[in-house]
Amino acid sequence: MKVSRREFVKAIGAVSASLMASGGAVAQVSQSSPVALPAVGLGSWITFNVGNAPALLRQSAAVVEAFVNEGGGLIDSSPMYGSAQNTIGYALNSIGHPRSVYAADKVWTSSTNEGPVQIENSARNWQIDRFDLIQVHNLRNWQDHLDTLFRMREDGEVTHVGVTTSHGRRHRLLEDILREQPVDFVQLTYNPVDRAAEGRLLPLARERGISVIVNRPFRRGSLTERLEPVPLPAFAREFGATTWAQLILLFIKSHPGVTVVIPATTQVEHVRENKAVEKLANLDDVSRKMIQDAIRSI
Amino acid sequence: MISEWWTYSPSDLLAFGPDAYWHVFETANRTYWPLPLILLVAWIAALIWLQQRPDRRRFVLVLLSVSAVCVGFIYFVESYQQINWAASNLAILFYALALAAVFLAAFPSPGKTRWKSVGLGMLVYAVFLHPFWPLVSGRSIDEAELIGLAPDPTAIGAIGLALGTRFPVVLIAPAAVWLAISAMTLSTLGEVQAIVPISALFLCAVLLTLTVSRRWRHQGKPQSDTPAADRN
Repeated sequence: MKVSRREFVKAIGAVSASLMASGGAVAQVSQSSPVALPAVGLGSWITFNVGNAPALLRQSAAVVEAFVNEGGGLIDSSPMYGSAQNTIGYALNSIGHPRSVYAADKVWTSSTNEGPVQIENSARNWQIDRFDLIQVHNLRNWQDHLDTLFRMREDGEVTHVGVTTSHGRRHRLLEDILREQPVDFVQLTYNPVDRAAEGRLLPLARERGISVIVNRPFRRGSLTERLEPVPLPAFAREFGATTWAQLILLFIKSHPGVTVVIPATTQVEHVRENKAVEKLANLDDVSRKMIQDAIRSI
Repeated sequence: MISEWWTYSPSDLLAFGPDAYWHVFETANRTYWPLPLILLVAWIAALIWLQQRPDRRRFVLVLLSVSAVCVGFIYFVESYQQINWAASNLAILFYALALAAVFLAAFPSPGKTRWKSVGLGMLVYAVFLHPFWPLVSGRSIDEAELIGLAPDPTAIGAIGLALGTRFPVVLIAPAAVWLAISAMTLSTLGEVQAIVPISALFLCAVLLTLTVSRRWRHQGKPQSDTPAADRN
């Protein structure tokens, strides 16, 4: 039986819907090569850059193990994150490279020729053969790197291709790329305080069938730190959230344009707390506005 | 793209947390042991020697040169690079410091000794007191920053030594640039120890201001103010 790509995407969508209905991991779909991803992934900026400190490596490995035990999903890193790739490699190796991990990394160099070498080196650091997703980090030399990555995708050396930005930078260029380039993923900053992506990028990504990875959900921890002393609003319990972090993640994952949010942490408890958000029902616009207003007023 | 760099804050560029940062010193100390101890003993001996024979400052400058190369390679390239991709570039500051120390050792001069006691104080701090910061901060002494291997005490020691030479600026400039970077790093990490590089920089600024103002006042004095002994 021959199945068209559209039918395949539709079928995956059905699987995703059934997963959601069963209260399991929220699944999403990427157009070029459909994949079901849990809505809460794992970032590695700062938290996994621990050098070769044995205690910190073990702590990071425990975080990855807890992440996998809670359903796994997308783990994101970059050559820019110091030793984070090696830490992930160490952690994955210690738990036997579970299949539930979707390996996402980036290419981050101004040299076109160095791109493939860097990707190969990154895979070595992760101790894997190939990545599921390679993104052009902060749009650095994006034209040349995208050419390379599209070629790699065609040759089956990577499943998906994406572009990233953060802190709300270069959104106009990002918009042009999303319109003109056949990318599978875009990574950007989005949270109840940084909402620049809401205007054009999230709707555009949705329209073009591009999956969205959200970085800096807690503004590198400063947002949750600011909110910590403040009691949770009463409506949080109704939504099922027990902490500010959960409320923020729920706000993000409930946006219809968002695929995965990637909080980073050094604490196993935080991983469990973050992953628990996957089981919460998505909110409507009115409820999301309540969260946004509550945080803005603090 | 270049203009975009100005929109980043130090916290956006710092890719590691305090635990990983402090562990770098432990890694360097452990990996190259007993070199840290040898360098520390050499600096203690140099300090004693400097007190007894101030004219032998050039030999201490050679020790500073060796120390700066050790900091550049062992600390920045071999250790700090693991968590900071820019570390190898920062090593250049200490290679420049090493060259400057060799230059001053090769061309000795009596120099001005006005701030020598301040310089000695800085050297004593760098050698004897700075290594105890981990205990003050509740960390393990294994993370001690020793002169000759860690950049902050080496830079502070270099400034202390520079204050007894004729061209202090060639040593002070690279050391001060590093201390500014260190101050920014430690402040961003939220570490109280940031007070050390900030204080050292403040001291440099005060000494520079005093030196310039004294020179300016001296130049502004009328001819008749010159000491009587200078007139025959």
